[in-house]
Amino acid sequence: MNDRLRTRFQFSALVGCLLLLGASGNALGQYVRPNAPGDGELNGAGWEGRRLLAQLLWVKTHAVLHAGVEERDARPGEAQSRAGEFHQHGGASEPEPETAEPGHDEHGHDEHGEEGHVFVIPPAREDFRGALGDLERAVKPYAGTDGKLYSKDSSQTLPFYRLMTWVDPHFIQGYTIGSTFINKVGKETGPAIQFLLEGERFNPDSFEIQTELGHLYLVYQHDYAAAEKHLRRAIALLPRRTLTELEDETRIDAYRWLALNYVQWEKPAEAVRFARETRAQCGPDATLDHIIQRQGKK
Amino acid sequence: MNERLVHIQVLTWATLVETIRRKDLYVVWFLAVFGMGAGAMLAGSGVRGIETFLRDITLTVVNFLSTVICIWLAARQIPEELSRRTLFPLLARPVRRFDVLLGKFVAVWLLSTGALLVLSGIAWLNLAMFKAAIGPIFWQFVALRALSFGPIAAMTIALSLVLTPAATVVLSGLLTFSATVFARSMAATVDGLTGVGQWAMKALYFLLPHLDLFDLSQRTAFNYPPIPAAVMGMLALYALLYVGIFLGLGELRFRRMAV
Repeated sequence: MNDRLRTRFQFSALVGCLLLLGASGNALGQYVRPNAPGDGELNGAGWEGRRLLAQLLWVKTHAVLHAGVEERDARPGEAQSRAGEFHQHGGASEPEPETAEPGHDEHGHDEHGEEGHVFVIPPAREDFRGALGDLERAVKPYAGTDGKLYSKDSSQTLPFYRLMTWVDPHFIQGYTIGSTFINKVGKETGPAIQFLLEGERFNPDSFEIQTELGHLYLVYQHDYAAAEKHLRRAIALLPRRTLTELEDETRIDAYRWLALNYVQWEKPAEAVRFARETRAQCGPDATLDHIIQRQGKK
Repeated sequence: MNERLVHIQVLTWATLVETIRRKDLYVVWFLAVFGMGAGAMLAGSGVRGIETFLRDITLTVVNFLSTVICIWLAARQIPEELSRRTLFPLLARPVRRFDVLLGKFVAVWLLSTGALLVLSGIAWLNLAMFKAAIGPIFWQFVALRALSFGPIAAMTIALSLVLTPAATVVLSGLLTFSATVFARSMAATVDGLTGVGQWAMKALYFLLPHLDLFDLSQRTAFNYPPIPAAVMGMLALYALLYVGIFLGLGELRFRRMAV
């Protein structure tokens, strides 16, 4: 075999291997995705890298949700001067089915933190750069003159949630928020539940995932027994340490959803009893008070 | 004048032939196919809403690899001539040093643009294959990227006359790939300063080239409508201005350089 023929053969073999690798990508994913490791296995540079990558993808979803427009925390005074920039996420104002109580804030979309954010690229009136600023506003994703974004297709964030939870299967927010977007007002509740069940497998002690599972079973599947199971488990898993603001919101949600689950399940006595218990334990809450008032009459 | 044009044309042609002979570009195109293919793997897993993700990944690969080609080609032109001792016989002919610089610059720009067009073709096919095709803004993205190779190539050639090849590649890469971070940090610093400090920072901001202005990848990934022709025109002028500045600076250094 002469040199040229051998080189061609080697090149063809290499291309063939790469094509094979590409074609079997999904099957290989099974090996790349880790099994649920114990806490001891989560240390080390490899996992730090995966956590970092998941965080980067998380930040990226924020920009994707805003049609590529980048945001940052507002500095003092900016919240007023740039009030026109404030807007809602795509789907953030989506109506919940009849189960949702008035005034209840659906938590999923708000966890990115909309309040107090402004665009990174300043508006012309606050920009010292003159023509250079105008050029940047023309070539980078930016809101229209009315402050509205070009496109707000929240389904475009799904691959990012998929990737971030492959990269770091212990990134719980990736599962809870990702499932909200997969579900998107009950359009694909089955895949959303599957996604959360995958999260549950990797994070059996996560009360956030249990709460979200309970929420989906209650609101979209009307499977009250399954909802009760997950919400009870969420409450049992609540950590005894001081919770972060986000965790505390989820904790309150778990109680509210469970009380609402009994209402929907037509177990008013159970609903009132649970609401009263929770109220005595956690203090006044508009949703629970509403349940006690309405179901108590029944 | 005609004679000078012939000199530049010959120098450009020689550089083009030499680079094509070295087959560096094929490696990059192969890497592009692999990179975009890896990104497209997710499309096969049935995840919904893949279009923006695919466009983002694909355009990032095109941006990155085409810029790497431009910097790599520009950084090695003069140092290689020096190390192979081919510059001296070249300058022994009645050829101006600036013409050598200009010939090299034109060749690098043509090669980088050619490589970009191939990469863009691969990207277009990849996106069309996964039904994530993009509108006319894609061609504006390609045009602006090609325009950006002007200042990038001129800057890198100028830097290669004062730095080692490795340092040239690193510094040019930093200035190009971190352009957005640099520009935003400087703009934020201006807001935090007062008096002379603020004035100096503003001057620095306007002096440095803002290569991130040539990057339409994010608007393209989200399929925004095309940008106005006037903006394209202004950016073309902006690119030409910095090409002139960097080639001028390069010429000043090259004129005094011992070969």
